[in-house]
Amino acid sequence: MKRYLLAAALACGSVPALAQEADAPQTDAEWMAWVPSADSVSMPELAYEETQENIDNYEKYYYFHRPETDFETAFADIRECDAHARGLFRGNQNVDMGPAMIQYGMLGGAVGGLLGAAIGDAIYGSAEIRRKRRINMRRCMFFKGYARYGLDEDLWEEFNFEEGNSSVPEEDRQRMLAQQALVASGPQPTAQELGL
Amino acid sequence: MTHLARMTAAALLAASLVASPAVAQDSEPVNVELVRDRDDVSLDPAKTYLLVEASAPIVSSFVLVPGDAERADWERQRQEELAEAIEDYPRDLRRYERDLEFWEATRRRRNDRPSPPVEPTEETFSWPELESRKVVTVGHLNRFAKSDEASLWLLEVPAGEYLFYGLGMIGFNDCACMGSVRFDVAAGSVTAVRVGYELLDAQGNVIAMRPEDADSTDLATRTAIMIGEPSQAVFDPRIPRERIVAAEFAPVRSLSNWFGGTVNRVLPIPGVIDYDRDRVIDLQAEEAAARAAAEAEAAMAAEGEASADETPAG
Repeated sequence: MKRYLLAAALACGSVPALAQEADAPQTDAEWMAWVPSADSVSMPELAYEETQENIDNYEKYYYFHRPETDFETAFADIRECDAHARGLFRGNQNVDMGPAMIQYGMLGGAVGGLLGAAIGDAIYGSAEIRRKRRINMRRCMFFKGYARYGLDEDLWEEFNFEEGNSSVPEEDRQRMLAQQALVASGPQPTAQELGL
Repeated sequence: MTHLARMTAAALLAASLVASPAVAQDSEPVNVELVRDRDDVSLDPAKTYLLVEASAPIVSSFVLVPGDAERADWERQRQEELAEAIEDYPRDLRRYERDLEFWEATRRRRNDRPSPPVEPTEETFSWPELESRKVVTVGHLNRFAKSDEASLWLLEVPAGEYLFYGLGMIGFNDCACMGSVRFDVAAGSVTAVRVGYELLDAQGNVIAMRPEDADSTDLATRTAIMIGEPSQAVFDPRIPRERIVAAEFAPVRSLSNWFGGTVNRVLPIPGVIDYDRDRVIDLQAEEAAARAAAEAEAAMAAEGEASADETPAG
């Protein structure tokens, strides 16, 4: 139900349509390489009246922010952490040993990560998969120097997704990551930092 | 698009983008022998050993860095498979087109829409990293020694360079993916390391006790992994003391998440590795560079003085 609402929200233009752009992404690969301009991404609503229920759920519903960070940098950082969380990230170099290291194609070689992730996912149910994503995103963004702030669940669902046993379509994922990056590079939040 | 964004975007991948090789790859697994906990242990003076210490029975993983010859062979295999995949692609494409036609013409469809085969190129052809085949897993069973303070595992291993991969088991592991270390295991040595988990607070500082009010996601997230020099616990009387050497570490910038675990990085090690956000700092290299700069400056200053002395007055 919630995913339906998200899809409807996207269709209604909470993220601007790209139909007028000649080079709008079509394939998953293109969506992964898509970098919109910051002013074409719509800023999510972040203001709400905090309740105890909100506070109790901050382990699940939050956003990241880092001062003096531009949109492109934030988008690259969030994508990198998302790739780690999905088990897709290949280090640029495993070992910094210079010429001894043979570089495989940039995209090839991640199958090991996918396989491991698939084994893990086959063993654990959706709740565990969602939990692992939270751990990965929180750690990775923390290492990159981003602070974490709590958010109301309904507002969170407008521009965030959870992994489960069914995967998020690449277009939805990239659009939401772009919105998360806009927030991460946007105005300084006044809420309390939650930490790692 | 900035270089950063383009690099990251290019590094991403979905399963549907991968062109896979038809056959399994051929590589040598790492030849490892466990030394069991017995009174009559006698280490072979000609063999090489890895001694791992932890405060509790945990699982740790290391990667034996492959040699040049093995890498070259792995690369040869990759190129052969890629060439075959490129040859097969037109046929695979035709087969897909026929399947798609059939699927579109069929009313009662049992299967999903067929996916097009990915054209194999250098960029899309999936090939495992050779390092992923060189993993040595230690523990949690088969300890060489156990006490309340420490658990030890002793393994006979090939001499060589090892990377610290992380802690835990497939699906449950913490990969030192965002910063790790490597170390030599010299032939004939018993090279010792200590590994473990540490708890962190919300600011990322190491703490001793589990906080009372933390929920399970907080606890799981705020867990660090460490590797460092061993303690006195590794001096087990069954191991000739003079053979035991503490590992000497150098930084590793990143590792791939082969087993779908959670990403992590090793805690900073004084004199070895630290971090500036997610950038790995090689402290030894920095110190060496600072020393070289200071020496160069001193040499220039000395030269300046010498030529001032030679300049005739007036």
